[in-house]
Amino acid sequence: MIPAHQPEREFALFLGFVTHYFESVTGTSPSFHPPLLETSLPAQLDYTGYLPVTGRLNGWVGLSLSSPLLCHLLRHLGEEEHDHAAQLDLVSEMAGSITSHAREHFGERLLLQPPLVSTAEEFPEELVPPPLFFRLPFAWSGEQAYLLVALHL
Amino acid sequence: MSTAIPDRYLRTDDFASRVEGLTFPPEVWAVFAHLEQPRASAELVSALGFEEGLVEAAFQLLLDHKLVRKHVLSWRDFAGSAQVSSVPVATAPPPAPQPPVRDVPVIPPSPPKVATGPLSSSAPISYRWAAALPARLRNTATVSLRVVSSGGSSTPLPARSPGASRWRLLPVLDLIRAKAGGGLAGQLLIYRVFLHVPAELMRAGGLHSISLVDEHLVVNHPRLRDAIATAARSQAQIEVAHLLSA
Repeated sequence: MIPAHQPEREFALFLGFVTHYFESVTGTSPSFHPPLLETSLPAQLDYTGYLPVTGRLNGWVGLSLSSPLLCHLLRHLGEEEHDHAAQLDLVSEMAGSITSHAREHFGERLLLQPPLVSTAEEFPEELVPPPLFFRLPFAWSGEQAYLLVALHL
Repeated sequence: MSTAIPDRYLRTDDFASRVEGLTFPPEVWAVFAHLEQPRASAELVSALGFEEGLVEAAFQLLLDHKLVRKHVLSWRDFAGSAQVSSVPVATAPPPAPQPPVRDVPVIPPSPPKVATGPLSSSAPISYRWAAALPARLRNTATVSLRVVSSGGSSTPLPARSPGASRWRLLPVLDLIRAKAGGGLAGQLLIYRVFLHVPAELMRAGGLHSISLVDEHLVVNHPRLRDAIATAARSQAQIEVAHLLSA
């Protein structure tokens, strides 16, 4: 019998994928802060990668990052361009990397669709906001970001 | 007046007839396993490495199910235990010394936590449930209570009523969190539970944004309390109504 909280245990692994990305690229881990539940869509930071999921749980995971964090990350990667396109590319790459890890881990238990990327002013029309959001703020190198979990009943 | 003598609890004589069929988070059973002898929360904090609030919440659950009782003793035993220096110890021999907590067999540790990166160590989750406990668990005569804004709730707040001390949200969150073994999985289980609480009810109760470690959040709205208890029961198979009832 699957414990009632098993889907949460699996979903929690997304945090590990995010941590793994920062560790493998920069050698340092982000620091996570206490999570919040919010009844309306939280204001997005400059760039957000969305990972739609279906399976035992349906919804999406968002990785919202500030522009200073992305520029800092680009410097770490040795990239010379830090403009809008470079930041958008980097968010796409991060979302793709996390999706790839998640697919490898979850198999058919949790299906991940191709990630979507947007700026703070946009919200992908393919996604439906749920009535409640789970927001996990974190910081890397002093710059702000958060992981957003949006599940549907 | 505060007391220097902490309450101690031990198993009831007939606990075996009540324990059948009950299910609690492993942390609660870990506390119960130590209560063959009277124990105070501080002793179990030391023995088990749990937060004090978690131990006190476990006491509360076990009390509610009459699996444990508060330790009481006669005046003669109390005086004989040398807690009253001016009382002559009469003919009664002093009570047998309590074995130190470290000598009590420790039950196996709670289930492994989900590997969730640095969250479990960096999130400053605090358990301060003392004010959330019912009067029978406290010796203090006053209750310190901070009531948050109802944010437009149509239900008038029972300002500083004794029952209001039971409406804190954090003990409820901690119990749900423990059900999934803590960590991010525990936080996400809280999320799933609250997904089943109508959002308009949450907004009516002033819960627009809930920090999952906020010890000051209070659920003032009766219908919201009922909805949370129902969702916890259906989504996490956990009973929290006793923590939210007046």
